[in-house]
Amino acid sequence: MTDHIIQVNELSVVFETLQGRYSALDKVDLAINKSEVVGLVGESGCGKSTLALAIMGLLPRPPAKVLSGCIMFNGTNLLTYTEKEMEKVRGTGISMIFQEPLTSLNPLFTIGDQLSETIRIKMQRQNEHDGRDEKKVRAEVVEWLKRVDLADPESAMERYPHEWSGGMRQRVMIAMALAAKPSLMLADEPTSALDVTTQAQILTLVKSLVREVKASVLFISHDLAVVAQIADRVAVMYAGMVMEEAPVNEIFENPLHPYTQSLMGAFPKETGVRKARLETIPGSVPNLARIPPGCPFHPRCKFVKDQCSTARPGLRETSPGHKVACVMYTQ
Amino acid sequence: MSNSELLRLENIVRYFSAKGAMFYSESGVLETGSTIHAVDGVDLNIDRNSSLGIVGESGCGKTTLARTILMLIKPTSGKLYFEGREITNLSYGELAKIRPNFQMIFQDPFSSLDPRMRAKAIIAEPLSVVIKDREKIGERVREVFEQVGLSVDQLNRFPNEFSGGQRQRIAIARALATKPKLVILDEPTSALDASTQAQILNLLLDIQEEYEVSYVFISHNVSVVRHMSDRIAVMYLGKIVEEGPVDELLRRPKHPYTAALISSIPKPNPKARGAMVEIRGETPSPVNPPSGCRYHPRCPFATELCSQTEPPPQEFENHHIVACHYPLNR
Amino acid sequence: MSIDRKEIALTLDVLRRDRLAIGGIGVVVLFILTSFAVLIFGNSLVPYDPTVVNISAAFQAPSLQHLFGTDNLGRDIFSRCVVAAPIDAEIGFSIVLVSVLIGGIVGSWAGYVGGRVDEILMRITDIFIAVPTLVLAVAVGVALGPGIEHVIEANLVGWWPVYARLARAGALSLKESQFIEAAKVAGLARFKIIIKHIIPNNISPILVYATLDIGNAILYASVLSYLGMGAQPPQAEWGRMVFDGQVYLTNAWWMSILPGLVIFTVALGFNLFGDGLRDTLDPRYRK
Repeated sequence: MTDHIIQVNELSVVFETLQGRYSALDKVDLAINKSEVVGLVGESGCGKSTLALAIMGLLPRPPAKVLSGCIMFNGTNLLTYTEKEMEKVRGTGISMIFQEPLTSLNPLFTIGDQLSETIRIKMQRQNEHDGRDEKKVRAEVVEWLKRVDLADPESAMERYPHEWSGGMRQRVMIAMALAAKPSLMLADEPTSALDVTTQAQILTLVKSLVREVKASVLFISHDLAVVAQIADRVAVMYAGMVMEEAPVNEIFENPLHPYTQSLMGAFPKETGVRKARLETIPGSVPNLARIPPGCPFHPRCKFVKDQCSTARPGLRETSPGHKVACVMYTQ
Repeated sequence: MSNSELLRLENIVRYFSAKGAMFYSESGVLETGSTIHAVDGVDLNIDRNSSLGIVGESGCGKTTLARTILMLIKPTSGKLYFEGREITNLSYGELAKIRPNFQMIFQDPFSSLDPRMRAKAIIAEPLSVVIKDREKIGERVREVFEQVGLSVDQLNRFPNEFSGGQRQRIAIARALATKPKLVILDEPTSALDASTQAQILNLLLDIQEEYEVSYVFISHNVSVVRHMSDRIAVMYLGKIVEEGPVDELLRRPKHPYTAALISSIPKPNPKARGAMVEIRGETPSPVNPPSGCRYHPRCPFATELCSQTEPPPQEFENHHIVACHYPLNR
Repeated sequence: MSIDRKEIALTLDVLRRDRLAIGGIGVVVLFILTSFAVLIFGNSLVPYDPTVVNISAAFQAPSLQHLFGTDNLGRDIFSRCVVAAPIDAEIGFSIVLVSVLIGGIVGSWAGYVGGRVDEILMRITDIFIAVPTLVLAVAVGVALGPGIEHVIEANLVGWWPVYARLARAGALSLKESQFIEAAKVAGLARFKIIIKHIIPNNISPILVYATLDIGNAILYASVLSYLGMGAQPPQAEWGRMVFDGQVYLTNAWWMSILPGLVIFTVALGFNLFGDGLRDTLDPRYRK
């Protein structure tokens, strides 16, 4: 219990718009331990990005509104922090990398400048030389660029973001996210926009760096296979709810929730029969403004029972570390 | 030329001139060049009622190849044959006569349908080019709409009233309306959710059986391509580096790039976190392709020969073709 | 051409919240209705015959009997203003409508086809845009001579290039769309693609600009009338009335100022309406 770096408790977030109220997160519980990589999987609209933004304090409120719950980090509820207080948390406490690095890097500053800024802040917060020793800062920037395999770091520092390819920019983002030695790094689909070979390089890099820096990671992806490669533990989300959570080996060998099972069946298998018909889930992902009552998955579930349309299943532990939100396992 | 040959590409080359074009080199840095060697000498045969998958990463030229096959752009050089007859230099009018045989399904279901047209009109469009009888067109539209699993009372709706998966079905209906012999699918499921993707792939397989149409399935997702195709061609920087029967090629790749590509693919199996075949650098751009074998700067087995001479294609059993000086032997 | 119901609902919703736009719409509607009323009912619509001369009633200040006062010939200015409405309506709408048609087609075609055609078209529009529209209009107007049709034509010359630019810009961005590619794959002829796909998808920004523009067109038409082109006496016309009243500005200010205010209000109305319309296109407001 005390191993938790961050704990999200019963977090509910809605978006109030002209078109109606979108329920983005529904009593989400999630905990991340020290030096752990948690993979958050789900299809588009399931709330995974909203969760990350909520943790970082980047939710636009309005139109977002937190209905209930808390996010405990280092003993305090992040939701109660003011913007100024959140600024202090970002970088050295929690950092984030996004899918499209071109829009998250400032095009007007060289990557050396941007990385230096992060390192200076870290130094200030740790009272190391106030970050005013430029030589030390520069040395650390070069060090980090080397660590993320950026060739020729000295001249690389002078280049601007647009001068780098997608894969390289993502490396810079990772350097920036980890240089401040955060306890937690949030990664929102960081490899979805990359070629498969570049993705493999980035995943390997993230895995080794994160171990070095001893940071925890919340790795968000719609791709089960990517999560299988990098996570220690996996949480599956659907329509704003966590449906299942288990250690990575366990969830792939023994998926319990019908949605998780269908998700795994929906991907063409490398060893499967070619041209065989894939398992499909009838219907489609619900509109977040009109989430079905009870269990949000019930209209599409092949094991649906009467109570599924009225009672919202809670997340229950069925075996050590393995939690499911389904009536089939809570009887 | 066998009787089952549908389409043949002979040494198709397509360059785009782009003065001052900017591109990223293998070290991931921005440089400038002047010609984009999008497709640089491709030979390809597509048979009747077959499935060919084309895989490759960004800059490999697969989209340009697709547009050349569809005769949306003319090749810079090379020849195109349809059912044995050369069509490379046909006029716009003559091409229009054979167009009903070729159709395409695009990646983005949100931008491949005109937002201001109703579903009915969208599907009728390719038909209207060949059939003038409005009643016949209407009949066919209803027929194919139902075949893709949509109900005819939705024919009057606009694209934004359908979900992503449904829009892709409309796109499929549009492609099938003229009963084409060849359909090119450019990443048809990449923009869809996992569950929708499965539905669409199943639909595509059903349709192929019923219509006996040939598919050219382009994707960066090798598992999906494997699922849908009989043969696979791997493209790199405008060239096909390897081509062969799907399972053969994926289990025993002969080209180092193919091997690296396959091993880079994350497997949905946490126990299979093996080391990947080493691949250095970034995916280069076709503006300034390397000399000799294009893959040599990133290949762990490259020699002097590789940097000087382009490897000619070699054929192995089962029509497994590789363009490499040192094909892998497994 | 088809616009779906949800879009209309969203548009109306945004407009409803914009007070100024509502004011603008009100003015525009009043203007159009008045113009039609005059066309149908003629002079019987107004309290006084706009052409009848009555020297004994000249130079009366605005009062309950003469809302806008009378001019130097004793004619009721309010009646003359009302009766003049359809003239400016005709001029304003004609200029813009024809410009949209010519510019829209030429621009869409040039943008889609590109190459030489585009180059030539762009040079032509460059020339016209370089010359200040008003100067050009005056020059052409003088050459053509007086008359309403000539006012329209004179302004048209310099008016259509802006729409050509707008249409071209839209065509340029649309032509890379996948649904255009799909139409090409289907084998559609080029001009069919332009008419069926490019133009309908380009309408919104052009419509917005056109609405704003009608106000401008009316302003320009008034200027030309003020300068003596356009409607000839005794035909009432706002710009002309401003000119006629200028001499008497010190002792009968209402002769110039009030028709001038009418011009200003109508032009402003179109501007506010167009502004509101433009906001409806902005995705931020549509949330």
